[in-house]
Amino acid sequence: MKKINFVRTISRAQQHQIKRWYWHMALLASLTLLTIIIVQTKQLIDLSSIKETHRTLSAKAKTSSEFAQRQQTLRKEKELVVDHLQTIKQWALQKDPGTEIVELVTAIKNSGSLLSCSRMPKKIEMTVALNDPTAVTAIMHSIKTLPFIHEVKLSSLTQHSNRTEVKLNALTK
Amino acid sequence: MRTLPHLTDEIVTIGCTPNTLALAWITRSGKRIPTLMAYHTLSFQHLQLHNAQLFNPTALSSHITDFLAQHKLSNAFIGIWLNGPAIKQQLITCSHAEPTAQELGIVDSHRYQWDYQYLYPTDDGRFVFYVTSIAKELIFQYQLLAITAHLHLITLTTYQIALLHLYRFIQGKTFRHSKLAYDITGKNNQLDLLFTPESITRTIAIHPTVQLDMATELPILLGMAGLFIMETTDEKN
Repeated sequence: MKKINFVRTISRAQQHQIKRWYWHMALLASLTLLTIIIVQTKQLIDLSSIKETHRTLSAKAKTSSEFAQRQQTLRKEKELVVDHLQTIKQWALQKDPGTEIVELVTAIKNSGSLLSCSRMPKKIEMTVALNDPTAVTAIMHSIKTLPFIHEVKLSSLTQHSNRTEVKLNALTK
Repeated sequence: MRTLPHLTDEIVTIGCTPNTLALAWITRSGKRIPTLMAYHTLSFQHLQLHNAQLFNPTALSSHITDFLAQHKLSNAFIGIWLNGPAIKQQLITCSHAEPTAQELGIVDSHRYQWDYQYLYPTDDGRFVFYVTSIAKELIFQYQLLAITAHLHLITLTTYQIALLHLYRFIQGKTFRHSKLAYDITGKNNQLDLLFTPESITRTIAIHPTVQLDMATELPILLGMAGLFIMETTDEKN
């Protein structure tokens, strides 16, 4: 039997279907919105965390740069100081030639006189004037007893009218 | 934003006879027989409703909304059947089963809303159709009434159609158009004479709180039950 209806309406079943569709869409939209909010919130939290890390690292990088610059300056100063210290050490290590000459003069003053003395890195060349040529041996023995002399060699002996000149090569320690 | 109206499964049927407005609330819970929960009739003596035409829609709207509010049915679906001289109703006999509009006498279709229903075959091989029409301005009056009273109107039909659906429901699977022909011709084409008070009691239960005189209210109750059956019965059944 046909349902004669003079008004064009949406049937009860269709209205219930529309209602179900409406609530399903509302639920779906809510879930979608909730998901977007959760995802966006997580991303915002991550972004905030990354910004915080970036800020911390930037501060550290800035300090590190200053530190590196200061380190470079200090390294240069240290090299300069080391150079100065090396120079000072070299000066400190150098022996006073005056002392050696005084000791040489003292060692030979009883038998002769020192005419010249040349200090070289490993040896000392000296010229001694003797009154008695036989005193050469005593002089050489006296020089050899000095603490900074390792060995003494007679290089030449020259007889003059009133004196004798001998050249001695003394190897230093 | 306009939200969806709140939907319920309740159906309120309204019947408009020439000078009577009837309201009924019939509900069904599960597979139990539908129950008439509330029933109310109003007779108008001052032409508020005359020949199904609404001369005082404000008063009618007030009566309807009072009934709905009293039973908390503001969101119920509303079905209305009309009966009276304002509704043109005819039984047309045609020589074949698929008649044209002219053969059914459907004319002046821009002023009237027409529809028809095949009823039964005759012994001489012809076919009888129930043809009805309502003036469009009358339909518009009821639509305006529904809008102003916030009624969830879903059906506007005729009393005879409600009775046909009730007959179809009572017959069930044994319904045959030939049986309808036999019954209806025996009653001189008076559809309401096909039913007895037992027809109502077999169709709907009447709640004990509802007091009514079955003898006088039977024709209206038939229409109410028929409209309810029409709304709740699946077309395939």
